[in-house]
Amino acid sequence: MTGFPLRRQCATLLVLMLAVCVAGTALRARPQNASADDHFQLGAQALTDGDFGKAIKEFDAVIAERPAFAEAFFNRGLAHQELGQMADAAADFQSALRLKPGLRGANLFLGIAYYKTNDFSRARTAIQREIKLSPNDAKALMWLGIVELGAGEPEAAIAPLDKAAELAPKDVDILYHRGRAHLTVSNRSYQEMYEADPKSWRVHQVLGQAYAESERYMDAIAEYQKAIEIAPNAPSLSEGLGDAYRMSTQLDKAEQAYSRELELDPQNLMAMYYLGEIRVLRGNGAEALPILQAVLKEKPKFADARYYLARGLAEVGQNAAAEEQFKLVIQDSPESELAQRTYYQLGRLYRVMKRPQDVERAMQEFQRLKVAADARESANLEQRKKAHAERDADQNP
Amino acid sequence: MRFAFRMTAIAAWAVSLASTLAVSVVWLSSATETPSFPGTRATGSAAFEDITEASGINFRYVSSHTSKKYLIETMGSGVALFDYDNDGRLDIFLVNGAPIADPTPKGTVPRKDGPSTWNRLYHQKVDGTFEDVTEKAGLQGIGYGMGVAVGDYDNDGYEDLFVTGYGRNTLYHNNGDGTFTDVTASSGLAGSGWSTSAAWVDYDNDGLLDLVVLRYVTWDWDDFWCGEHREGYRAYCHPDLFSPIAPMLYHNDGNGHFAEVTQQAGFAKPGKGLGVAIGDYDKDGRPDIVIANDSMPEFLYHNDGGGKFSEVGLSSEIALDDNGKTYAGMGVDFADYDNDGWPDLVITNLANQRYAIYKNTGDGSFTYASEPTGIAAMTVMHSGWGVRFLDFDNDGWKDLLVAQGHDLDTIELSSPQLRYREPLLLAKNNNGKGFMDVSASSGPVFAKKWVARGLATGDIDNDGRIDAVITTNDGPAYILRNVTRTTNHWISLQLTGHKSNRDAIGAQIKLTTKDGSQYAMVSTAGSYLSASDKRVHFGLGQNTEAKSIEIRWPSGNVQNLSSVQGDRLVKIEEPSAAKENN
Repeated sequence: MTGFPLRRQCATLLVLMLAVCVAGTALRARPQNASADDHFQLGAQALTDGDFGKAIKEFDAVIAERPAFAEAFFNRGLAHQELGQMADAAADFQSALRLKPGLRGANLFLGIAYYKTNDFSRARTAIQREIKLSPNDAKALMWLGIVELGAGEPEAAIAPLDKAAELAPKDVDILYHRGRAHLTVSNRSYQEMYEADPKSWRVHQVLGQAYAESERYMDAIAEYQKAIEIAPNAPSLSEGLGDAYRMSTQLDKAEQAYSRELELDPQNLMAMYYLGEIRVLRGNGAEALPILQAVLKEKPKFADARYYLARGLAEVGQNAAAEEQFKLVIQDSPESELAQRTYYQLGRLYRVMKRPQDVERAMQEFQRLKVAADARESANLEQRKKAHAERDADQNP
Repeated sequence: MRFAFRMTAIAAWAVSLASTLAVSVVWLSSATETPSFPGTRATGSAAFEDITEASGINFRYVSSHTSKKYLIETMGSGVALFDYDNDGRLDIFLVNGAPIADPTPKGTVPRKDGPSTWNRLYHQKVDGTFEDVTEKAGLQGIGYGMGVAVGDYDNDGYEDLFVTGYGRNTLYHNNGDGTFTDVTASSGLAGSGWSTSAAWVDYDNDGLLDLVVLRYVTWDWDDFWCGEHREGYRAYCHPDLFSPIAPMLYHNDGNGHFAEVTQQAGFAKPGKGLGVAIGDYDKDGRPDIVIANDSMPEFLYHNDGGGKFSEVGLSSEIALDDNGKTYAGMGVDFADYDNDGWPDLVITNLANQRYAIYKNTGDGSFTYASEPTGIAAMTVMHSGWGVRFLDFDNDGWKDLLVAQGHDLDTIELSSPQLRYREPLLLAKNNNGKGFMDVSASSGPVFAKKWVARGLATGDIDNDGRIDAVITTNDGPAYILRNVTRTTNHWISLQLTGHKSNRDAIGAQIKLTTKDGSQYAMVSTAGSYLSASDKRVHFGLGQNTEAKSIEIRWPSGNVQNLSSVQGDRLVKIEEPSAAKENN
């Protein structure tokens, strides 16, 4: 239900864009018949204005005078499509394509017309023809994905939608449908997995992930434990368990889980990182250091790992090394929230090192970043307040 | 039999002491005069049991919910445990709200409209039950109440009451005859804005109790819709939406009047204060003040002397958590949980934040210790308000009792794993190394789910085990009797100052047994909106006596006692000499 208005919105946008484009092309291409030109211009304007009935009449007049004018059929097809007259629209798009097989957009809108009559097979064929003509048309790729989703083929939808997202990474419609495709595929996969073996450890793993994502950590822990009971040597389960324990701040148990994960998969960097972080948080910096150093050897830009390495170094009294690492964290991203926290830790470190002037400087930087962050937060809040007020005014005029 | 034996033993010891030592320990009393509450009995391994019904207390806090979800509706109220008539038994004062119009026009200061919203004073009778003496005492109250602070501000030997509220605070002078007089106008303590917790403290050690009054936010019945914009989802707004406001510091002029000295004392930093506690964190002999702020850095006011304070929360490392982040500070207590001689801090906050334990390092700073003490893991899913360090099992280590419940009554819609109503938390101190959640094994009362807010502690039945009173938002107040079965011993100290303020608030006590030393400061403040028994309670473990007790009075006097028998209340008068050793 929620998809339709969005689809319609996209289609409308495309129609208007193409109508103007096609109209412009037509006028430039066919200037010799003044009467047809006038009708074409009036039709294009009516299309832009949303007066689709009038547009059809104007394009009827153009076609009566110039029955081989492909753009007129195309534009009339767009008007029919907007009025929900899909059969008429498809017929016009087909006529346009017969007259001008390379007419840009005609295959796409023909495909959309088929899609709207649930003829997914012909819709797919038409849109694929459009993509062959314009391989980097993100909207055509999106519509192919939408058609595949409508046809119950979410796996086939993923490739065109991924490509569309690559071409138009900020197009919310494309991102929406891409997300829908991936979600559908994953849900179907999980469903098939469950039907294949309801007692599989994978089922518990998926449930564990789902509970963890909805912040139901106790439930997540229970599911991961069940999975591990069935498959004690399967990698990633202990990591998931560790994540759930960590998020519920049962750090002692999280530490055990990550340690187990690393027995099974010694190269699991995230398990290594979290094990190191937890050991620092639990005041066991000495045991955290080699792990975090190993993580940073693999991923030198892992700022959070460096932050905890620095904290671990501070814990074991390697103050100069800790200072150096903290400074590297700040250097990488001097205005970030992590930098703010790092200045706070630096201030604490300098206090231990009995460098009061540096304490002062670090805390001043911490305060500066905090004030800036608070100001941003305040601005957001003011916007929210304003939005609240406007919404209340709308609802209680 | 047991009762008779103890009385004899105590009397013999008292005579012996008085006749052989020219000391200031002048009076000793048994701690077993009050019989058990009727209809109650220790069961199983329970630590606490709910004796509200048998106690005769029937109080219900009225928060006055509205469709506007005014923030004040969810903040709850305070409770005081104090002995207003000096009969040796703790009485209970409960703060109540007032009706709120829906909507309420800006500038409104709500007023109580009858008995259902009165504050209540319950007098404890000889049999351990309570009688409502509110009207006789004249403590019905006027406005929308929040918190309460207890202190004998005029040193006349009777505890006075300061009641905070929205728009106006009230000082009640205890007349000593079971009645109180509203002396707000002459005292200059009416205040303004939205006041929350308050604390009596003699910050300049002049022998007169001064007063700290926190204020929450700048707020005036603001009608913001927070939470999802649909029926049933409107939520109380986050305090970030409102501006912080400075607390009020009042100096006791000694003539019944208080001078507001907030600015000149350096106490004017705007905050969002909800909880206040006092403690001398750097042992310089001057009481310092910690303020739990909601969703902004916590404050620690170092007492510089000369009537001046410096806010050192950030530099002392109590302002933030270990990651440099703020949290919703609500309740606070200041006590030495690891018996190293340096008072530590606990600050409660909201779910997903972890209550903060700050271990005093002794060098003027603190270490965030929520993770290594186990407090983080046991509290991450909970929201805490009233909190007290108390040695519930008398093993010589201060445990934690926390009143819990989320502030949002819609929290389960937005965060299904969290709960609006929550059980209490009892965390047992593992010899100063950390804490263990023992709630589940501490009696059915810990299975009950309340929207708990205020919490005060004290030995209500004088049996040597610390009891508690909990307030709940829009619900009853609960009286929890400590029924812990233990062979551990205890001692309770009631100090009376002469050169110092009469309540001896700020006096520091070091008690030593064969097992080591424990430390405490006399205070009625701490927790959330509440005031606790001023008597200082120590568990002695298996020791029957304290080898020594050292008292550093606010006046500077130092008093030493030795071989003080346990399992009793010891009343101690401040000596007149500068230093006295017994």
